[in-house]
Amino acid sequence: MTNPSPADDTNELARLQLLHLADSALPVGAMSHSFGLETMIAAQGLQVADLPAFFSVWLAGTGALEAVFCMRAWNIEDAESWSVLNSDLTARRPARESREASLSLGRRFLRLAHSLTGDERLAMPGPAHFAAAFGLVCGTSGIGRAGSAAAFLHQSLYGAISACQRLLSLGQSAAAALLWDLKPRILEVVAEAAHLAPDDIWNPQPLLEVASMRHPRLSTRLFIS
Amino acid sequence: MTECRILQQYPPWKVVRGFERQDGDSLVHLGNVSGGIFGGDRLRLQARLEQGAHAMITTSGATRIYRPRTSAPEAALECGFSLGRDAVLEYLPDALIPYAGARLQQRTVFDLEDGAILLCWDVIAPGRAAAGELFRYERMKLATEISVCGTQILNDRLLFEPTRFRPSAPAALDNYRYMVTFIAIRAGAESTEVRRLERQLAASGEEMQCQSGISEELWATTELPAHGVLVRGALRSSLRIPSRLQSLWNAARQEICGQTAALPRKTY
Repeated sequence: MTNPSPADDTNELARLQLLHLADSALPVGAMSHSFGLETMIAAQGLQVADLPAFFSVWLAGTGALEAVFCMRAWNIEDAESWSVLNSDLTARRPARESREASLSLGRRFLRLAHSLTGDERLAMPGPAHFAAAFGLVCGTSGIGRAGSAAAFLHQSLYGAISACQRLLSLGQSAAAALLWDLKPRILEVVAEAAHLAPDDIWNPQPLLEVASMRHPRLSTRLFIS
Repeated sequence: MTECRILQQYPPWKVVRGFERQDGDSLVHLGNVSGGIFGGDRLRLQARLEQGAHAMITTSGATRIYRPRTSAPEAALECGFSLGRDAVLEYLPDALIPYAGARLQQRTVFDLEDGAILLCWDVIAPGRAAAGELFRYERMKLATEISVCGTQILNDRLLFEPTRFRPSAPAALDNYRYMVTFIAIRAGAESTEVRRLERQLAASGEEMQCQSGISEELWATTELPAHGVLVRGALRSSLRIPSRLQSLWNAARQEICGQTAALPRKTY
Protein backbone atom coordinates (compact mmCIF):
# COMPACT_ATOMS: atom_id res chain seq x y z
CA MET A 1 0.00 0.00 0.00
CA THR A 2 1.36 3.40 -0.96
CA ASN A 3 0.80 6.61 0.91
CA PRO A 4 -1.34 9.16 -0.94
CA SER A 5 0.62 12.08 -2.30
CA PRO A 6 0.05 15.43 -0.56
CA ALA A 7 -1.73 16.68 -3.65
CA ASP A 8 -4.38 13.96 -3.26
CA ASP A 9 -5.02 14.68 0.37
CA THR A 10 -8.31 16.57 0.58
CA ASN A 11 -7.46 17.75 4.10
CA GLU A 12 -4.25 19.31 2.84
CA LEU A 13 -6.18 21.00 0.06
CA ALA A 14 -8.76 22.26 2.55
CA ARG A 15 -5.96 23.67 4.73
CA LEU A 16 -4.49 25.53 1.78
CA GLN A 17 -7.90 26.86 0.87
CA LEU A 18 -8.42 28.02 4.45
CA LEU A 19 -5.10 29.89 4.34
CA HIS A 20 -6.32 31.59 1.19
CA LEU A 21 -9.80 32.44 2.51
CA ALA A 22 -8.45 33.87 5.76
CA ASP A 23 -5.73 35.89 4.04
CA SER A 24 -6.04 39.64 4.46
CA ALA A 25 -5.09 39.99 0.79
CA LEU A 26 -8.36 38.35 -0.27
CA PRO A 27 -10.06 41.05 -2.38
CA VAL A 28 -13.23 41.57 -0.34
CA GLY A 29 -12.31 44.93 1.21
CA ALA A 30 -11.79 43.85 4.83
CA MET A 31 -8.82 46.17 5.28
CA SER A 32 -11.01 49.23 4.60
CA HIS A 33 -13.06 48.71 7.76
CA SER A 34 -12.20 49.38 11.39
CA PHE A 35 -15.62 48.52 12.93
CA GLY A 36 -15.50 51.52 15.26
CA LEU A 37 -11.79 51.29 16.14
CA GLU A 38 -11.01 54.48 14.25
CA THR A 39 -13.37 56.47 16.49
CA MET A 40 -12.13 54.64 19.59
CA ILE A 41 -8.62 55.85 18.76
CA ALA A 42 -9.36 59.28 17.28
CA ALA A 43 -12.01 60.41 19.75
CA GLN A 44 -12.40 57.97 22.65
CA GLY A 45 -8.85 57.62 23.92
CA LEU A 46 -7.88 54.04 22.99
CA GLN A 47 -4.07 53.77 23.18
CA VAL A 48 -1.42 51.17 22.37
CA ALA A 49 -1.15 50.12 26.02
CA ASP A 50 -4.88 49.33 26.08
CA LEU A 51 -4.80 46.99 23.08
CA PRO A 52 -4.06 43.59 24.70
CA ALA A 53 -6.93 43.94 27.18
CA PHE A 54 -9.17 45.57 24.57
CA PHE A 55 -8.83 42.68 22.12
CA SER A 56 -9.11 40.05 24.84
CA VAL A 57 -12.47 41.53 25.91
CA TRP A 58 -13.45 41.97 22.25
CA LEU A 59 -12.99 38.23 21.82
CA ALA A 60 -15.28 37.54 24.80
CA GLY A 61 -18.07 39.68 23.32
CA THR A 62 -18.14 40.43 19.60
CA GLY A 63 -15.65 37.65 18.88
CA ALA A 64 -17.74 35.00 20.64
CA LEU A 65 -20.89 36.20 18.90
CA GLU A 66 -19.27 35.99 15.48
CA ALA A 67 -17.81 32.57 16.30
CA VAL A 68 -21.29 31.30 17.22
CA PHE A 69 -22.74 32.55 13.93
CA CYS A 70 -19.79 31.27 11.91
CA MET A 71 -20.28 27.79 13.40
CA ARG A 72 -24.06 27.88 12.95
CA ALA A 73 -23.65 28.77 9.26
CA TRP A 74 -21.08 26.01 8.77
CA ASN A 75 -23.65 23.28 8.07
CA ILE A 76 -26.57 25.32 6.74
CA GLU A 77 -28.02 23.84 3.57
CA ASP A 78 -31.23 25.73 2.78
CA ALA A 79 -31.96 29.34 1.91
CA GLU A 80 -34.59 29.79 4.60
CA SER A 81 -32.27 28.81 7.47
CA TRP A 82 -29.63 31.04 5.92
CA SER A 83 -32.01 33.99 5.83
CA VAL A 84 -33.11 33.46 9.46
CA LEU A 85 -29.51 33.20 10.64
CA ASN A 86 -28.43 36.42 8.93
CA SER A 87 -31.53 38.29 10.04
CA ASP A 88 -30.78 37.23 13.62
CA LEU A 89 -27.22 38.57 13.39
CA THR A 90 -28.46 41.82 11.82
CA ALA A 91 -30.62 42.48 14.89
CA ARG A 92 -27.60 41.97 17.14
CA ARG A 93 -25.57 44.73 15.45
CA PRO A 94 -27.24 48.01 16.45
CA ALA A 95 -24.59 50.32 14.95
CA ARG A 96 -25.44 50.88 11.29
CA GLU A 97 -21.87 51.19 9.98
CA SER A 98 -20.61 47.99 11.60
CA ARG A 99 -23.74 46.13 10.53
CA GLU A 100 -23.46 47.30 6.93
CA ALA A 101 -19.70 46.60 6.88
CA SER A 102 -20.33 43.03 7.99
CA LEU A 103 -23.03 42.60 5.33
CA SER A 104 -20.93 44.15 2.59
CA LEU A 105 -17.88 41.98 3.35
CA GLY A 106 -20.04 38.87 3.69
CA ARG A 107 -21.73 39.33 0.33
CA ARG A 108 -18.41 39.99 -1.44
CA PHE A 109 -16.76 37.03 0.28
CA LEU A 110 -19.59 34.69 -0.68
CA ARG A 111 -19.60 35.88 -4.29
CA LEU A 112 -15.84 35.42 -4.57
CA ALA A 113 -15.90 31.95 -2.98
CA HIS A 114 -18.76 30.93 -5.28
CA SER A 115 -16.80 32.03 -8.32
CA LEU A 116 -13.61 30.29 -7.10
CA THR A 117 -15.22 26.98 -6.18
CA GLY A 118 -18.23 26.82 -8.48
CA ASP A 119 -20.06 25.24 -5.55
CA GLU A 120 -23.79 25.95 -5.96
CA ARG A 121 -24.36 25.55 -2.22
CA LEU A 122 -22.78 29.01 -1.92
CA ALA A 123 -25.41 30.62 -4.15
CA MET A 124 -27.41 31.72 -1.10
CA PRO A 125 -29.76 34.66 -1.71
CA GLY A 126 -30.25 37.73 0.48
CA PRO A 127 -28.12 39.36 3.15
CA ALA A 128 -24.91 37.59 4.18
CA HIS A 129 -22.87 38.60 7.21
CA PHE A 130 -19.12 38.06 6.97
CA ALA A 131 -18.96 35.58 9.87
CA ALA A 132 -21.85 33.54 8.46
CA ALA A 133 -20.46 33.59 4.92
CA PHE A 134 -17.05 32.47 6.20
CA GLY A 135 -18.62 29.58 8.10
CA LEU A 136 -20.73 28.49 5.13
CA VAL A 137 -17.79 28.55 2.72
CA CYS A 138 -15.55 26.64 5.13
CA GLY A 139 -18.28 24.05 5.72
CA THR A 140 -18.65 23.37 2.00
CA SER A 141 -14.86 23.22 1.59
CA GLY A 142 -14.31 20.43 4.11
CA ILE A 143 -12.75 22.68 6.73
CA GLY A 144 -13.62 21.79 10.33
CA ARG A 145 -16.30 23.70 12.25
CA ALA A 146 -14.18 24.99 15.13
CA GLY A 147 -11.22 25.60 12.83
CA SER A 148 -13.41 27.77 10.62
CA ALA A 149 -14.47 29.95 13.54
CA ALA A 150 -10.89 30.20 14.83
CA ALA A 151 -9.65 31.23 11.39
CA PHE A 152 -12.42 33.80 11.10
CA LEU A 153 -11.55 35.36 14.45
CA HIS A 154 -7.87 35.28 13.57
CA GLN A 155 -8.40 37.17 10.32
CA SER A 156 -10.76 39.61 12.10
CA LEU A 157 -8.09 40.35 14.70
CA TYR A 158 -5.43 40.63 12.01
CA GLY A 159 -7.55 43.25 10.25
CA ALA A 160 -8.26 45.15 13.48
CA ILE A 161 -4.60 45.14 14.56
CA SER A 162 -3.59 46.24 11.09
CA ALA A 163 -6.04 49.14 11.44
CA CYS A 164 -4.39 50.01 14.76
CA GLN A 165 -1.00 50.10 13.02
CA ARG A 166 -2.36 52.72 10.65
CA LEU A 167 -3.97 54.75 13.44
CA LEU A 168 -1.50 54.45 16.32
CA SER A 169 2.23 54.22 16.93
CA LEU A 170 2.11 50.45 16.81
CA GLY A 171 5.14 48.92 15.12
CA GLN A 172 5.18 45.74 13.08
CA SER A 173 6.91 43.63 15.72
CA ALA A 174 4.57 44.81 18.46
CA ALA A 175 1.57 44.12 16.22
CA ALA A 176 2.85 40.65 15.44
CA ALA A 177 3.42 39.95 19.14
CA LEU A 178 -0.08 41.18 19.98
CA LEU A 179 -1.72 38.82 17.49
CA TRP A 180 0.57 35.96 18.50
CA ASP A 181 -0.32 36.33 22.16
CA LEU A 182 -4.06 36.34 21.39
CA LYS A 183 -4.04 32.98 19.59
CA PRO A 184 -4.64 30.84 22.73
CA ARG A 185 -7.50 33.16 23.68
CA ILE A 186 -9.04 32.68 20.21
CA LEU A 187 -9.08 28.93 20.78
CA GLU A 188 -10.61 29.31 24.24
CA VAL A 189 -13.37 31.56 22.91
CA VAL A 190 -14.15 29.17 20.04
CA ALA A 191 -14.26 26.19 22.42
CA GLU A 192 -16.72 28.06 24.66
CA ALA A 193 -18.77 29.39 21.74
CA ALA A 194 -19.26 25.86 20.37
CA HIS A 195 -21.64 25.18 23.27
CA LEU A 196 -23.41 28.54 23.37
CA ALA A 197 -26.58 29.90 21.77
CA PRO A 198 -26.54 33.48 20.43
CA ASP A 199 -28.57 34.69 23.42
CA ASP A 200 -25.82 33.44 25.75
CA ILE A 201 -23.44 36.05 24.33
CA TRP A 202 -23.35 39.49 25.94
CA ASN A 203 -21.58 42.66 24.91
CA PRO A 204 -19.12 43.99 27.53
CA GLN A 205 -17.91 46.83 25.24
CA PRO A 206 -20.85 49.24 24.81
CA LEU A 207 -18.59 52.16 23.96
CA LEU A 208 -17.15 50.29 20.98
CA GLU A 209 -20.69 50.18 19.58
CA VAL A 210 -21.03 53.88 20.44
CA ALA A 211 -17.75 54.53 18.60
CA SER A 212 -19.12 52.83 15.50
CA MET A 213 -22.28 54.96 15.72
CA ARG A 214 -20.16 58.12 15.93
CA HIS A 215 -17.82 57.17 13.08
CA PRO A 216 -19.85 58.83 10.27
CA ARG A 217 -19.37 62.16 12.07
CA LEU A 218 -15.57 62.01 12.40
CA SER A 219 -14.08 64.91 10.46
CA THR A 220 -11.25 62.85 8.94
CA ARG A 221 -11.68 59.16 8.22
CA LEU A 222 -9.26 56.53 6.93
CA PHE A 223 -11.81 53.72 7.11
CA ILE A 224 -15.30 53.12 5.75
CA SER A 225 -16.52 51.95 9.16
CA MET B 1 -59.64 57.17 24.66
CA THR B 2 -57.44 54.48 26.24
CA GLU B 3 -58.58 52.56 29.29
CA CYS B 4 -56.16 50.66 31.56
CA ARG B 5 -57.33 47.14 32.49
CA ILE B 6 -55.34 45.15 35.01
CA LEU B 7 -55.85 41.43 34.47
CA GLN B 8 -53.53 40.20 37.23
CA GLN B 9 -51.11 41.77 39.66
CA TYR B 10 -49.15 40.35 42.57
CA PRO B 11 -46.77 42.00 45.05
CA PRO B 12 -44.23 43.49 44.94
CA TRP B 13 -45.64 45.16 41.83
CA LYS B 14 -48.70 47.32 41.94
CA VAL B 15 -50.23 49.54 39.27
CA VAL B 16 -50.84 52.76 41.18
CA ARG B 17 -53.56 53.77 38.73
CA GLY B 18 -54.20 54.55 35.11
CA PHE B 19 -54.45 58.34 34.90
CA GLU B 20 -56.48 59.63 32.02
CA ARG B 21 -54.63 62.42 30.27
CA GLN B 22 -55.73 65.38 28.21
CA ASP B 23 -55.19 63.81 24.81
CA GLY B 24 -57.05 60.63 25.79
CA ASP B 25 -54.05 58.40 26.51
CA SER B 26 -53.56 56.53 29.75
CA LEU B 27 -50.66 57.15 32.13
CA VAL B 28 -49.82 54.12 34.24
CA HIS B 29 -47.57 54.36 37.30
CA LEU B 30 -46.04 51.04 38.14
CA GLY B 31 -45.01 50.82 41.77
CA ASN B 32 -42.81 48.26 43.48
CA VAL B 33 -43.96 48.08 47.10
CA SER B 34 -40.68 46.51 48.20
CA GLY B 35 -38.81 49.42 46.62
CA GLY B 36 -36.66 47.14 44.54
CA ILE B 37 -35.62 43.64 43.54
CA PHE B 38 -34.09 41.06 45.87
CA GLY B 39 -31.74 38.21 44.99
CA GLY B 40 -33.68 35.36 43.39
CA ASP B 41 -36.73 37.51 42.59
CA ARG B 42 -38.29 36.91 39.19
CA LEU B 43 -40.52 39.85 38.28
CA ARG B 44 -42.64 39.67 35.13
CA LEU B 45 -44.64 42.45 33.54
CA GLN B 46 -46.83 41.80 30.49
CA ALA B 47 -48.82 44.57 28.82
CA ARG B 48 -50.90 44.52 25.67
CA LEU B 49 -51.92 47.70 23.85
CA GLU B 50 -54.91 47.06 21.66
CA GLN B 51 -55.29 48.66 18.23
CA GLY B 52 -55.04 52.45 18.44
CA ALA B 53 -54.45 52.53 22.21
CA HIS B 54 -51.98 55.06 23.62
CA ALA B 55 -50.26 54.42 26.94
CA MET B 56 -47.40 55.86 28.89
CA ILE B 57 -45.94 53.47 31.44
CA THR B 58 -43.48 54.71 34.02
CA THR B 59 -42.24 53.70 37.43
CA SER B 60 -42.81 55.67 40.60
CA GLY B 61 -39.08 55.80 41.34
CA ALA B 62 -35.73 54.16 40.63
CA THR B 63 -35.62 50.37 40.73
CA ARG B 64 -33.10 49.28 43.35
CA ILE B 65 -31.35 45.96 42.84
CA TYR B 66 -30.53 44.86 46.38
CA ARG B 67 -27.52 42.91 47.55
CA PRO B 68 -28.54 39.22 47.38
CA ARG B 69 -27.72 36.40 49.77
CA THR B 70 -24.65 34.56 48.51
CA SER B 71 -26.71 31.51 47.62
CA ALA B 72 -29.54 33.43 45.91
CA PRO B 73 -29.83 33.00 42.15
CA GLU B 74 -29.57 35.93 39.79
CA ALA B 75 -32.62 38.22 40.00
CA ALA B 76 -34.68 38.52 36.85
CA LEU B 77 -36.80 41.38 35.55
CA GLU B 78 -38.78 40.42 32.45
CA CYS B 79 -41.03 42.93 30.71
CA GLY B 80 -43.02 42.16 27.58
CA PHE B 81 -45.04 44.69 25.62
CA SER B 82 -47.24 43.85 22.69
CA LEU B 83 -48.44 46.77 20.57
CA GLY B 84 -51.45 46.36 18.29
CA ARG B 85 -51.87 48.17 15.00
CA ASP B 86 -51.35 51.97 15.37
CA ALA B 87 -50.91 51.69 19.14
CA VAL B 88 -48.50 54.08 20.86
CA LEU B 89 -46.39 53.06 23.86
CA GLU B 90 -44.13 55.37 25.80
CA TYR B 91 -42.22 53.20 28.27
CA LEU B 92 -40.22 55.53 30.51
CA PRO B 93 -38.94 53.72 33.59
CA ASP B 94 -36.66 55.35 36.15
CA ALA B 95 -33.07 54.19 36.52
CA LEU B 96 -31.85 50.81 37.67
CA ILE B 97 -29.60 51.23 40.72
CA PRO B 98 -27.59 48.11 41.50
CA TYR B 99 -26.37 47.84 45.11
CA ALA B 100 -23.05 46.23 46.04
CA GLY B 101 -23.07 42.54 45.18
CA ALA B 102 -26.25 42.78 43.09
CA ARG B 103 -26.75 40.54 40.09
CA LEU B 104 -29.63 40.96 37.66
CA GLN B 105 -30.75 39.86 34.26
CA GLN B 106 -33.24 42.28 32.71
CA ARG B 107 -35.04 41.31 29.50
CA THR B 108 -37.39 43.79 27.85
CA VAL B 109 -39.28 42.63 24.76
CA PHE B 110 -41.42 44.76 22.45
CA ASP B 111 -43.57 43.31 19.65
CA LEU B 112 -45.05 45.89 17.30
CA GLU B 113 -47.73 45.48 14.67
CA ASP B 114 -47.88 47.72 11.63
CA GLY B 115 -48.22 51.44 12.38
CA ALA B 116 -47.40 51.04 16.08
CA ILE B 117 -45.10 53.58 17.71
CA LEU B 118 -42.63 52.90 20.51
CA LEU B 119 -40.68 55.50 22.46
CA CYS B 120 -38.71 54.08 25.36
CA TRP B 121 -35.63 54.61 27.45
CA ASP B 122 -33.42 52.77 29.87
CA VAL B 123 -30.94 54.14 32.42
CA ILE B 124 -28.37 52.17 34.40
CA ALA B 125 -26.61 53.77 37.34
CA PRO B 126 -23.19 52.68 38.67
CA GLY B 127 -24.60 52.02 42.13
CA ARG B 128 -25.41 54.23 45.11
CA ALA B 129 -23.27 57.07 43.80
CA ALA B 130 -24.09 59.48 46.63
CA ALA B 131 -22.65 56.98 49.10
CA GLY B 132 -19.56 56.48 46.96
CA GLU B 133 -20.65 52.94 46.08
CA LEU B 134 -19.60 52.75 42.43
CA PHE B 135 -19.48 49.59 40.31
CA ARG B 136 -19.57 47.32 43.34
CA TYR B 137 -22.38 45.21 41.92
CA GLU B 138 -21.56 41.75 40.66
CA ARG B 139 -23.27 41.62 37.28
CA MET B 140 -25.95 43.37 35.23
CA LYS B 141 -27.21 41.79 32.02
CA LEU B 142 -29.58 44.00 30.05
CA ALA B 143 -31.34 42.59 26.99
CA THR B 144 -33.65 44.65 24.78
CA GLU B 145 -35.43 42.84 21.98
CA ILE B 146 -37.69 44.56 19.45
CA SER B 147 -39.69 42.90 16.69
CA VAL B 148 -41.82 44.58 14.06
CA CYS B 149 -44.46 42.49 12.32
CA GLY B 150 -42.66 39.32 13.42
CA THR B 151 -39.15 40.35 12.30
CA GLN B 152 -36.62 41.13 14.98
CA ILE B 153 -34.87 44.46 14.38
CA LEU B 154 -32.95 44.73 17.65
CA ASN B 155 -31.43 42.22 20.05
CA ASP B 156 -29.16 44.35 22.21
CA ARG B 157 -27.44 42.48 25.02
CA LEU B 158 -25.26 44.59 27.30
CA LEU B 159 -23.11 43.15 30.06
CA PHE B 160 -21.64 45.05 33.00
CA GLU B 161 -19.54 42.82 35.25
CA PRO B 162 -17.01 45.04 37.04
CA THR B 163 -14.78 42.31 38.49
CA ARG B 164 -14.40 40.62 35.11
CA PHE B 165 -14.56 43.56 32.72
CA ARG B 166 -13.05 46.77 34.12
CA PRO B 167 -15.70 49.54 33.84
CA SER B 168 -13.05 52.21 33.21
CA ALA B 169 -11.71 50.39 30.12
CA PRO B 170 -12.03 52.65 27.05
CA ALA B 171 -14.57 50.40 25.30
CA ALA B 172 -16.57 49.63 28.46
CA LEU B 173 -17.61 52.89 30.19
CA ASP B 174 -14.28 54.72 30.17
CA ASN B 175 -14.62 57.54 32.74
CA TYR B 176 -18.39 57.69 32.47
CA ARG B 177 -20.68 56.18 35.08
CA TYR B 178 -24.19 56.10 33.67
CA MET B 179 -25.40 54.44 30.48
CA VAL B 180 -28.56 55.65 28.83
CA THR B 181 -30.45 54.22 25.86
CA PHE B 182 -33.31 55.87 24.01
CA ILE B 183 -35.24 54.12 21.24
CA ALA B 184 -37.80 55.55 18.81
CA ILE B 185 -39.65 53.24 16.39
CA ARG B 186 -42.56 53.60 14.03
CA ALA B 187 -43.49 50.25 12.53
CA GLY B 188 -43.65 50.71 8.80
CA ALA B 189 -41.62 53.93 8.66
CA GLU B 190 -39.99 54.57 5.29
CA SER B 191 -36.20 54.74 5.24
CA THR B 192 -36.31 58.49 4.46
CA GLU B 193 -38.39 59.06 7.60
CA VAL B 194 -35.96 56.98 9.68
CA ARG B 195 -32.97 58.92 8.32
CA ARG B 196 -34.66 62.22 9.12
CA LEU B 197 -35.33 61.04 12.67
CA GLU B 198 -31.72 59.84 12.96
CA ARG B 199 -30.42 63.25 11.85
CA GLN B 200 -32.74 65.03 14.26
CA LEU B 201 -31.73 62.92 17.27
CA ALA B 202 -28.04 63.01 16.31
CA ALA B 203 -28.23 66.82 16.24
CA SER B 204 -29.81 66.79 19.72
CA GLY B 205 -27.06 64.46 20.94
CA GLU B 206 -24.30 66.64 19.52
CA GLU B 207 -25.82 69.74 21.05
CA MET B 208 -26.00 68.06 24.48
CA GLN B 209 -22.40 66.87 24.12
CA CYS B 210 -21.23 70.38 23.19
CA GLN B 211 -23.01 71.94 26.17
CA SER B 212 -21.06 70.08 28.81
CA GLY B 213 -18.08 68.65 26.90
CA ILE B 214 -17.21 65.15 25.80
CA SER B 215 -15.51 64.38 29.10
CA GLU B 216 -18.90 64.76 30.79
CA GLU B 217 -21.20 63.09 28.31
CA LEU B 218 -20.93 61.18 25.07
CA TRP B 219 -23.87 60.62 22.71
CA ALA B 220 -24.29 58.55 19.59
CA THR B 221 -27.21 57.79 17.30
CA THR B 222 -27.79 55.04 14.79
CA GLU B 223 -30.45 53.80 12.41
CA LEU B 224 -31.66 50.34 13.29
CA PRO B 225 -31.98 47.87 10.37
CA ALA B 226 -35.49 49.27 9.78
CA HIS B 227 -38.32 51.29 11.34
CA GLY B 228 -36.39 53.37 13.87
CA VAL B 229 -33.41 54.78 15.68
CA LEU B 230 -31.36 54.00 18.78
CA VAL B 231 -29.54 56.67 20.79
CA ARG B 232 -26.96 55.78 23.39
CA GLY B 233 -25.35 58.08 25.91
CA ALA B 234 -22.66 57.69 28.53
CA LEU B 235 -22.53 60.31 31.30
CA ARG B 236 -20.35 61.06 34.30
CA SER B 237 -23.17 62.54 36.34
CA SER B 238 -26.85 61.70 36.70
CA LEU B 239 -27.86 65.34 37.07
CA ARG B 240 -28.46 65.99 33.40
CA ILE B 241 -30.03 62.64 32.53
CA PRO B 242 -33.70 63.66 32.98
CA SER B 243 -33.37 66.79 30.85
CA ARG B 244 -31.37 64.91 28.19
CA LEU B 245 -33.93 62.14 27.93
CA GLN B 246 -36.79 64.63 27.79
CA SER B 247 -35.02 66.47 25.00
CA LEU B 248 -34.59 63.29 22.94
CA TRP B 249 -38.12 62.15 23.73
CA ASN B 250 -39.53 65.50 22.71
CA ALA B 251 -37.60 65.58 19.43
CA ALA B 252 -38.65 62.02 18.55
CA ARG B 253 -42.28 62.64 19.48
CA GLN B 254 -42.38 65.76 17.35
CA GLU B 255 -40.90 63.91 14.40
CA ILE B 256 -43.00 60.75 14.68
CA CYS B 257 -46.28 61.91 16.25
CA GLY B 258 -46.23 65.62 15.37
CA GLN B 259 -46.74 66.45 19.07
CA THR B 260 -44.48 67.53 21.88
CA ALA B 261 -43.92 65.20 24.81
CA ALA B 262 -46.10 65.66 27.88
CA LEU B 263 -44.21 64.77 31.02
CA PRO B 264 -45.74 62.19 33.32
CA ARG B 265 -47.11 63.66 36.53
CA LYS B 266 -44.21 63.14 38.92
CA THR B 267 -41.18 64.98 40.19
CA TYR B 268 -38.02 65.11 38.06
